[in-house]
Amino acid sequence: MFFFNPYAIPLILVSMFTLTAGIIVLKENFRAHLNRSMFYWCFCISAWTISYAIVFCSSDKNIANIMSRAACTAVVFLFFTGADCLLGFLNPKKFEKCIFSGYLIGMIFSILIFSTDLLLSGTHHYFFGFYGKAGPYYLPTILFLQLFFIYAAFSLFSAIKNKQLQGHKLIQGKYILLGFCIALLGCIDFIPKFGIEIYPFGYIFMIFWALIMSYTILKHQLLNFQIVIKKSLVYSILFAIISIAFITIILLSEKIFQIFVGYKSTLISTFAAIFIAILFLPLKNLIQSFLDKYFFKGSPMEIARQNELLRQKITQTDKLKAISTLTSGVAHEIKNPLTAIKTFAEYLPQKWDDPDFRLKFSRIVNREVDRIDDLVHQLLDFAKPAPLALKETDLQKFINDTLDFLNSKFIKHHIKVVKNLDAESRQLIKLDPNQFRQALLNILLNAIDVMEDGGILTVRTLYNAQSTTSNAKRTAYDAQGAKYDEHSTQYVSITISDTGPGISENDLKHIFDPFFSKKDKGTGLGLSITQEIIKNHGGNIFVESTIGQGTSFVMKLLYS
Amino acid sequence: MSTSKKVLVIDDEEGIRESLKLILGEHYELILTDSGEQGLDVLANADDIGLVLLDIKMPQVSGLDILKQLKEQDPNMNVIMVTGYKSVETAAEAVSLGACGYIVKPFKSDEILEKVKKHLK
Repeated sequence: MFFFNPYAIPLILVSMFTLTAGIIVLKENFRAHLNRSMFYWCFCISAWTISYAIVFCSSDKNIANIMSRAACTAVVFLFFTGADCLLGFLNPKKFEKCIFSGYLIGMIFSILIFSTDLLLSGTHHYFFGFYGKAGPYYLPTILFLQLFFIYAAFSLFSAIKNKQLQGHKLIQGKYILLGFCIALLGCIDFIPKFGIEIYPFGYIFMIFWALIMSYTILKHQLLNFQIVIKKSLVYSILFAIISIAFITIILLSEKIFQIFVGYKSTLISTFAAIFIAILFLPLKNLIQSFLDKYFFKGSPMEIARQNELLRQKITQTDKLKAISTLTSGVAHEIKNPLTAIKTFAEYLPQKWDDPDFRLKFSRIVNREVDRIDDLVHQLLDFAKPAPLALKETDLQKFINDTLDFLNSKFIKHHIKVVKNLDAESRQLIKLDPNQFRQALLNILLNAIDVMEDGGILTVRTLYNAQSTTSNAKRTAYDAQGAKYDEHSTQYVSITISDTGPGISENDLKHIFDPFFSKKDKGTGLGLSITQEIIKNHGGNIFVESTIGQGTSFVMKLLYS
Repeated sequence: MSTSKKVLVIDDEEGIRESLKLILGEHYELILTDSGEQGLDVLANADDIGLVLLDIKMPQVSGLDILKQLKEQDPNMNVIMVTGYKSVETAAEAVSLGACGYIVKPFKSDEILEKVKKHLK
């Protein structure tokens, strides 16, 4: 029923490779749409190639027929998951209906593939084994699938061209588009379906694509576009050479063996595999140096330098983005009071005799001038914080004093305060008490705001402890540029947790951005200032939040 | 009053609401609200509103989200967005969502009067 067919080996390898790439990407962030759709796509490639590996190894025509239909179904979904990946990357909500219709059409095609001969009508038998045979509607179907796929790629191309994507997203978009163009080469595998006897090697390009996509999603921030292409090229060419060499050696040896000995032997393929394994490393180095010499002209130092330049460019983009957020925030915060002052001043001559107007004028104009004054002070603090006046401070006493300061507010809002202070926190730590109190107050006042109708506020200190936040959260949302050594044991962590409504993941990313606020009152500078103060103390601040459960801020400070 | 239709103002800032009242109060009947939720409530229960002046940046729910909900509630309602900064993208998004115009703060009284006169149904 089944026999060992060496032609199936590259298919099995591609299947294993793409499935592994898909699982790695999914594991990195299973909530992200791009990661999920990438996994679906990898799964389809894996299902397609493994199904054909079974077809190739099958000596039973019926099994080959069923499995080639399974492979064809995977290919159909390959187009729709690919489009899902592209369109979802651009805007999952905007293209939601389009993606959904794609999957629905995929389901209809799957039913047609298994229940009729319209798309596939049996199998061909070629030198490499059985292969699916195109039915009368196979050609229009693949043309339709191509159109759907090209529409998605064109949407991404337009977004890149019209500068709708910026920063990291633009870099990712370029990689993804390149990956998709390469993936289209997989269409070579349609040719043998029409009775033309060539080995369907198009699936090999999927390795190239999977490499680009995995790099893009996992490490795009520090990878130069050229380096991605280079690495992908090296491995794709290597893989293609190995596959072709493997197949040629087997074909030739089998022919020779059959002529001289009179029968086929699986020993030949075993020898071929050993031969290839010996050749693998020198071959890889040879291809790599060839590509380096003729295409990339870059030593590892040069690559490192390019990576550093790219990193700087990304940092600069992020800085510009922060300045842009700051500017628009300042514009809004200043223009509101300015508008009120301007309008009241304009109407002053004609409304002077209206006592009601005079009262409003005095109240509103005064208040708005105070607002601008406050904002200017806060901006000055934010831009150029006062130098630290460090003092040996008893942290436990300091926290107790700060909490006492807010006691009336806790009582008023029915907030229960739970203190879990490490006995070690009586140790002295170097702080600027004024600035650090401001940092703590900003967090505590936020906690009170979100628990207006009561809740539990927990303050915990831990010496020499590992962070209570998960690594994933910490890298995603922490204060940038931590100065302390992550592995140092000489630090204290202060955790402030509330039982408020929690913060959405999207808002969490912007929580330390200046002028980001979800409150009715306030400038949105509080947490930016807190972050700045903690950073100036050589520490770092992290946040994690669960909707419906609450939010925790963790500050880590060195005390040695 | 030059018209029987009312102007609904949705802005969380008292200073802006009072400024608009100063400028428009003598010419039009105004309804002042300080949140999108309240504005939508007023709109659902009144049939004599001819124009909405809506702040683009508000806490809790943004002006653009309110605009979407407002247009779902009454697709023919004229809405003028009030914004603190000239942002082509935001203005374009507001227009694509159905706003008939926008005013940049700090505004001039003549500009407000002219725009309200033009768009009040």
